[in-house]
Amino acid sequence: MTLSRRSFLKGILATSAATLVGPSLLSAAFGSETAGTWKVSGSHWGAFRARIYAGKVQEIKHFEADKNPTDMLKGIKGILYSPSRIRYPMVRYDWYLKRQKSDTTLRGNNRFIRVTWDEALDLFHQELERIQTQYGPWALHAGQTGWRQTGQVHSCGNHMDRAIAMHGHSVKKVGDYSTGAGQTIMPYILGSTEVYAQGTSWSLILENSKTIILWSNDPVKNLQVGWNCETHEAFAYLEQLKEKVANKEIKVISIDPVRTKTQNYLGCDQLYVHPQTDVPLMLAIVHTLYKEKLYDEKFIEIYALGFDEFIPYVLGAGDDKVEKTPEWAEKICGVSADDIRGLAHLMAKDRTQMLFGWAIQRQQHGEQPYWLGAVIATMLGQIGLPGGGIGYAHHYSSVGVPSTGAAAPGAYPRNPEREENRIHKNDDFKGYSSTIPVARWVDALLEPGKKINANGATITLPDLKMMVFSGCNPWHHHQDRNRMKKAFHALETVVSIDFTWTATCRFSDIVLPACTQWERNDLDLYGSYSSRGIIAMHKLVDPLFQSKTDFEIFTLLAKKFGQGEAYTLGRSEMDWVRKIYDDCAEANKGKFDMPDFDIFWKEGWVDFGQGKPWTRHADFREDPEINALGTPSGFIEIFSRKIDRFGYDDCQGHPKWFEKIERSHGGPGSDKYPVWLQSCHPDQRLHSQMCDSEEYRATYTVQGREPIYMNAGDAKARGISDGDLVRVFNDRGQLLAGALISDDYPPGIARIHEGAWYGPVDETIGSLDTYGDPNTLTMDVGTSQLAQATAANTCLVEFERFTGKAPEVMSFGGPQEIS
Amino acid sequence: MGEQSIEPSGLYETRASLYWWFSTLLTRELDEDQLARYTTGAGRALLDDLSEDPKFSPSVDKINRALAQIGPMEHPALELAADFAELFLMDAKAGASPYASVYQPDGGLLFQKPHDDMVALLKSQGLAVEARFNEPADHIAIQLDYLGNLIIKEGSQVSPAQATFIEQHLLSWIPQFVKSTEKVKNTGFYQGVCQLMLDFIELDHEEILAA
Repeated sequence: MTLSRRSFLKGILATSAATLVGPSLLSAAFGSETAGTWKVSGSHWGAFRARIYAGKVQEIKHFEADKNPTDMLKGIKGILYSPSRIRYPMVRYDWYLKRQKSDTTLRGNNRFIRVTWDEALDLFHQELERIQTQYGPWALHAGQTGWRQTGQVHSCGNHMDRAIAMHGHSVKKVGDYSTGAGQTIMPYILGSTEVYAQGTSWSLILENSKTIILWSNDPVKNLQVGWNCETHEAFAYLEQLKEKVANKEIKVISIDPVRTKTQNYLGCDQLYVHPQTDVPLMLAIVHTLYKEKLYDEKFIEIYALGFDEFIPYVLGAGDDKVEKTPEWAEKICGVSADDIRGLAHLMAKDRTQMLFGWAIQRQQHGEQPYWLGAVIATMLGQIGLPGGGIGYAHHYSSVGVPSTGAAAPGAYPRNPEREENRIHKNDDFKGYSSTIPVARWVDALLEPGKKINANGATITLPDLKMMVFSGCNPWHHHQDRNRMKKAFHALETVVSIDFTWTATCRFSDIVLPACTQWERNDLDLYGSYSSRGIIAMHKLVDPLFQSKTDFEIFTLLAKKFGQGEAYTLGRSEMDWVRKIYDDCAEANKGKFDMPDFDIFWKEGWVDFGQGKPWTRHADFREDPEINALGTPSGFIEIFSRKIDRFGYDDCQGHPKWFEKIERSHGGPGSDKYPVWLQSCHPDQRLHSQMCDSEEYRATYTVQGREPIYMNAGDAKARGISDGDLVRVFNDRGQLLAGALISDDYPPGIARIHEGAWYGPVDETIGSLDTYGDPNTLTMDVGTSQLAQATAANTCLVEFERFTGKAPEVMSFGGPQEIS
Repeated sequence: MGEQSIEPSGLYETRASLYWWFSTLLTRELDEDQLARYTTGAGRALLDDLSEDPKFSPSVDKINRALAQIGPMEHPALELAADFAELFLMDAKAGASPYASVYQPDGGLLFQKPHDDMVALLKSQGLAVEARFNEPADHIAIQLDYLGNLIIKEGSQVSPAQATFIEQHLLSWIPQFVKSTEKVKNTGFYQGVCQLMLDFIELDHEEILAA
């Protein structure tokens, strides 16, 4: 060492540096290392065993009982250890200084400060107080839902609802983004939501159906995930179906604009139909069945109402004076008149099972295809027969796998036990609605006080000032991102509780770090609709950084207003896990043997076995009087008097064809924006969950962006090669995506999976999204005045090859590529 | 450097203090009192001393410019807290993640091999991360804290262990970390601190090798 350096260091008083030094971060180590332990846990993607060593999840392998584990298990470590994790409570800096007077246009500028949990919860509580006292319950909306994480004790929506309810009243929602239209209309037609109901067992379909119509339905893609811990039992049936298709025992037709993952797996037929034109196709099928007397008159007579009021519309005696012939339909839907007739003949010929997916009802007038599907099924007269009739959920959470009949474990109580526990009793909503259709909250922000029709009621959109999101990412699932961005300015305070920096968190004022489902003890139903068993969710590691469980977060909040004891009912986390298990065992007493909790916890699960095959609507078919449907009349309602009386022009007394605001292939708007953008559920995520798993995302991104699947001809015409960066745009917004050319996509059709994390270049409106969030482009309108539901699949775009320097992806916490 | 050499006593305490000082600055935000000491106090004195070395003066200048910028602001400490958060507390994309794991060539998850290595290293010295801090062991502040401890433990001996630690656990990623800080545009206080820290580590490393 040179002398000058040594003397330089000497010159620095050790004391001056020493006095600036804080307490040590290290302490004496104690405790010996175990060899590593295996624990059990679950997820939307299925159950697994994890090896824990040195305080870390080292390895994950699928649970033995799962015979068809999904590849997505590989993404779990990437969620747990994601650099996108929210590590500390954070408050938006400008909001911290100015509270409700903050510059809300700055939301999304990424400038936060860290606060302690105590301070964060004080702020949260103070805001709840201010809203209740300065405004009233109409100004607070804490009811939006997402797919949360799994686990019944820590169900994040329940905790948010409970804590908020213990403080005061607030605006709630009805419906959800997945099935808003379907779940609203189907009770009028078949007497239940149908989308959240068990369906005819797969085994009965395989044994009895001669024809299966997969109408806009991709079960092979969607059954990878489940609302509860997914068992993937349905895949065994799909494997059998594949064989039967190959042996020509069953004919499967996928009616879909694109070649789906299911079609490719089964090797089945496809009937291409122009996007958003299924209704003309269906009306023409009805026409054919009627004219050629291929329909079951007797069945209609006994089980349905309103056929005679509906059929004139099909025959050209309705207001539009248009006969819904196959020739008429052909011009709109792109299916030849011969093929339409052929399809009607096929469906009428033998036992036919219709299975609808959900994407088709996420378009403008999404109520119509579901209604018409039921009408066709009614005309075929096979509702209630094994392998006949219609299902609306066989792609979802083990529907079709027979229910064991076992009682499922309950969840953390979402409602306070006693009204006395509520601090603010004020339930005067001052003329605003206390419940709104879930997807109309942005409308509320833009036009408070506006009256809209919804499902027979008049909704007065409330003047919202504060929103709370718990495990919910509207900055993924809501449409028209730029419209939303503008609307968001109207909120004074936004609180988000999540474990990862979703766009919702980036655009919030108070961000509270929840931990993942693998950092807490819990239990879950194994197999949502099958009730196959109960799975233990052992805490794999302690909550990382400063994150906390949902249970703890909301207990601490409740303590702020003196309701801590009432919130927990005196129970700890493990007490609750035990209690929910014990209550479930009690409910199953005499029917299903459940071991003591400690044995269950050690073993990792309880197996209820297999259920008995079952046919949907069979009891109704057997006796429509005793087993009446839940419709107003008790019968299938082809014509609904109730809906008719609402007087809505966009959802009338019987199913109808309504032209869309924008539609490709010759429809409105297609000259300006010729491509239909389909934004269905992703193949390698659960909505937006797991998008932040860096390694896993890298397996499907194109130049680091979400893929846009497109037709080869469309690409060529625009000078786009496979793997190019593409700017996708319309009047509502713009995004960057990576081109993936595929034969599965016909001309004029492109797909970007929803759940792609929004990462705009900056917080301005119209800012280019760097990752590929399709909701930058979608339209924010209600399906109709009936359901006011999400209409994401009514969307036209154009795209072009992106030239110039591409902005880096802004959505995630992963490190920048160091050049 | 082959044999161990003896340093004039007191010098190793200074070295350790400096490592600990950087560790402290990167552990958490400065409150108003702590910040005040960088305008008039021990912090000011230290910065002035450091700026005498031409290698350190550019980064000290950067720090001083930042201090001058925030001085007249309404909430200087909060401004710096927002800078700190923007750089180190958000996600790695927006800022500069303070964990070595994130800078690994493959993947960039938290809690990867650099964390495991640090845990093992700490354990070999009978140490662990303070439970309340609850950060992965490859957090820069922990690594710097550890190095300070090592220096004090070895006292006047400058051993290969220190050089090895600097090479394998600090210089393996801190240059990229510092580069990441530069992409964030704010007062520049922490960018200056990080650059200063890197300069110091490099200098110290040279000195150890030369001894």
